[in-house]
Amino acid sequence: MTIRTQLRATTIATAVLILVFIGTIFFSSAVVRKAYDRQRVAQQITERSFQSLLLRYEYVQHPSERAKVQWINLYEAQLRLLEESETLFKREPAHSVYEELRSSIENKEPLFSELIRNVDLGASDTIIQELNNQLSMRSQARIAQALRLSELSHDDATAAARNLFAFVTFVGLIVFIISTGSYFVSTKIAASFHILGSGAKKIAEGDLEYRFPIHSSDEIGELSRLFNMMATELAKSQGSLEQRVRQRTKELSSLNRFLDAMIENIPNMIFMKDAKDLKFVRFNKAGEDLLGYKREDLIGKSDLDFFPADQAEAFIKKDRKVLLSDAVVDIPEEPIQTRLKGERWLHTRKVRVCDEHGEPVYLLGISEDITEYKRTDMAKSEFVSLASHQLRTPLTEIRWALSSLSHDALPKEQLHLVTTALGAASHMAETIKAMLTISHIETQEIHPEPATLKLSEVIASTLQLHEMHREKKSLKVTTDCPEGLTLQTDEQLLKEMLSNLITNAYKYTPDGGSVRVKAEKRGQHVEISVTDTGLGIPAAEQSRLFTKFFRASNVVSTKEEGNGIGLYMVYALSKLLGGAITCSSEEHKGTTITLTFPSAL
Amino acid sequence: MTAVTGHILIAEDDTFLTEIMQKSLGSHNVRVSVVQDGQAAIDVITATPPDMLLLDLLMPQVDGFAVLEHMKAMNHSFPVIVLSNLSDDVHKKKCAAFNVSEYFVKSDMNEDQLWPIVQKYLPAA
Repeated sequence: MTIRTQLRATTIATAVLILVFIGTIFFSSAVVRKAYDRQRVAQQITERSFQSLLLRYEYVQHPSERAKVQWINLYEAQLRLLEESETLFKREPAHSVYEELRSSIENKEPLFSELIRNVDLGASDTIIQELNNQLSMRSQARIAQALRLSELSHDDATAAARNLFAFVTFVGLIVFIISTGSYFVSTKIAASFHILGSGAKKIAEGDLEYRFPIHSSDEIGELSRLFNMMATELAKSQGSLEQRVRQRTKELSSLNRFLDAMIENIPNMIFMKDAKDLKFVRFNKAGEDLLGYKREDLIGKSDLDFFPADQAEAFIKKDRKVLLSDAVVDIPEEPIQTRLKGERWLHTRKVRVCDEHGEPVYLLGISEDITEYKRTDMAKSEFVSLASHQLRTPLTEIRWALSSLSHDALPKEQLHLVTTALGAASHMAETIKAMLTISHIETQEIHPEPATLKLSEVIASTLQLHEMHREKKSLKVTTDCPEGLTLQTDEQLLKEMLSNLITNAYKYTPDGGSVRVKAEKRGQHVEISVTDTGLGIPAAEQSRLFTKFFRASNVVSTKEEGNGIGLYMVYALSKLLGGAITCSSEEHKGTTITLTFPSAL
Repeated sequence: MTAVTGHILIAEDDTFLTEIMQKSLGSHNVRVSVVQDGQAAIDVITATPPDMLLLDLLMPQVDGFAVLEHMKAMNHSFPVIVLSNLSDDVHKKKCAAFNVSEYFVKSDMNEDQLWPIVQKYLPAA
C-alpha cells in the first residue's frame, strides 16, 4: 500500500471517529438527561403522593376550606405533572407503570369528590373513615408505582451512563491504535527521507557510484529508483564532459602553438602592453631584434624605462587615447631610439584588445621598420632634385639660345629648324617640371598654400601665357566665368593645372578650332572645365587617361609632342588639393576635362 | 609711353646665359651689368645700388641667399627677380621670406620673357 493511501486512510478514519465520537456524546448526554428527568419526575410524583396523603389526613382530621383547597390544588398539580411528563415514559416497562399511575390518579376523582362531599355534609366518622381508608389504599398503590417508576428511571440512567462510558473507552482505544499506526508510518517515511538525504549528499560530494538501497514499491521506492537513474546520468555526463574538455584543451594548445609560431616569425615587431599601467606583457622576436633588448628585459617595464622622458610621455599619451575606442590608430611614421641600430623610423598601428565585457585589457602594437624605405624615399627625392637641376642647366642654355636665334632674321629653312628645336626644348622643360612635381607629391614635399582666388583673373592670366600658341593655330578662345566666383586653393598649383589643360586643348585641336574655359559653382563645389573641338579620345582609352605616360592611340602619330605625364601631374595635383578630375570626350568631336574642387576648405 | 630706364644688375655664373640676357635686354633703354658670383654682387650693391637685381641662387663661394641676406642687412629695397633652376618649395619659401618680387625657373621660360618682367618691376625713372 502506498504511503499516500496509508496517510489518507489514517486521516479519514480519524475524522470519521471524531465525528462519531462527538455525535455519540451528544446522543448519550441526551439519553442520560432524559433518564434523569424521568427520575426527577418519578421522585416528584412520589413526594406529591406523600404530601397528598398528609393533606388528606389533615383535611379529614381538621376539615377546613383552606385544607380542602390545598389538597385539591395538589391533586390537580399532580395530574398536570403527569400530563406533562407523558413523553418521558413512552417506553416499556416504564410506560405501563406510568399508565397505571395516571389512571389511578385520575380514577381517584370520584372518591375525592365523595369524601369532600361527605366532609362538607358532616357525615359520620365511619363513612369518612371508610372513604379515607379506600383512598389510603389507593395512595399506597400509587406510591408503590411511583417508587417503581423512580427505580426504573434510575436503572435507565445508570445503563445510559455505563454505555456512554464504554463507548468512549472503545473509541479512545481505536484512536490510540490509529495514532500509533500513524506514528510508525511517519517514522518509516522520515527514515526513508533520511536515507535519501544522506545519499544525495554523498553524490553531491562526488561519489557518483553510490546508489540508493530502497526498493519498496511505494513512493519512496519510486523516488529512490529515480534518484539512482539521476546518479547514473550524472556519472555519464560527467564522463563525456571530461572527455570534451580534454579534446578542447588539445585543440586550444595546438592553436596556441600555431599562433605563437606565427607571432614569433612575423618580421614586424609585435608587442602588447597591459591596459592598466601600460607595461609590456609580450614581445616577439622581431621586437627584440629591433629594440636590441631581450624580451625578459622588456616585460614588466614601460616606455618610461627605455626612452627619454619626453618621448616616453608622448607615447603614453597616445596609448591612452588608443584605449578609449575600438579604432585602429595608424601612426605613419615615428622615430625611435634603439639600443643597437641607432635611430629607426617605424610605421606603427595600435589597437586596444577588450575582454568579454568590453573593457580594455591590452594595447596591441604592430610596428614596421620603414627606415630603409624612408632612406630610399629620401634618396630618390634627392636624386630627382639633383637630376632635375643637372638637366635644367644645359637645357636653359639650349632653350634661351634657340629663343634668341628665333628673334634674329633667319632664312626660312633655318628659322624652321630653330623654332622646331625650341619647341622640343620647351617640351623637355615641361616634362622635367612635371616629373619633379609628381616626385614632390609622392614624397609629400609639396605644401599647397590655399588662398581665396578670383577665378576670372586666374583664368585670364593663364590664357595670356598661351596667347602666342593660340594665335599660331588661329584658335578661338572663350571664357565663361561669373565675375565674383572665387575658389580657395593654391594659386600656383591651380595655374599649373589650368595651364596644362589649356596646352593640351590647343595641341590637340586642329587649326581654326575653338576652346572654351568655363567655371561655375555647383552646390558645395566649383567646376572648372576646358572644352575643345579637337581630336577627342577614343572611348575605350578614356579610363586610362590619367595614368602615367598615357598617350591616346589617336595622337601618338601626330606631330604634336606629348609624353603622357602632363595629365597625370594634373590628376595628382587635383587629388592633393582635395578635388577631382573627369573627362568626357568623343573622337573627332572634342574633349572636355573638368576639375572639381570644394568651394571652401 | 614713359621710357623705362635704369640700371639692372645681373648676378649669374653661366656666362653663356648672361650673353643672351645682355643681348635681349640691351635692345631696350636700360643699362645692364653682369657679375658672376655673390661677392661681386655684394660689392656692386654696396658701391652703387642698382635699380633692379636679376639673381641666380647657385653661384660659387657666395650664393644668391648670401646676397639677399646682405641686402636685408643693408636695408636695400630695389626689386629682386630670382632666376634659378631650383624649384623646391624650400628655396621658394626662403626667397619669399626675403620679399623677392618674383621667382622664375629659368628652364621653364624663354629669354624673351625677361623684358616684360623687367618692365613690370623696374621703378619708373
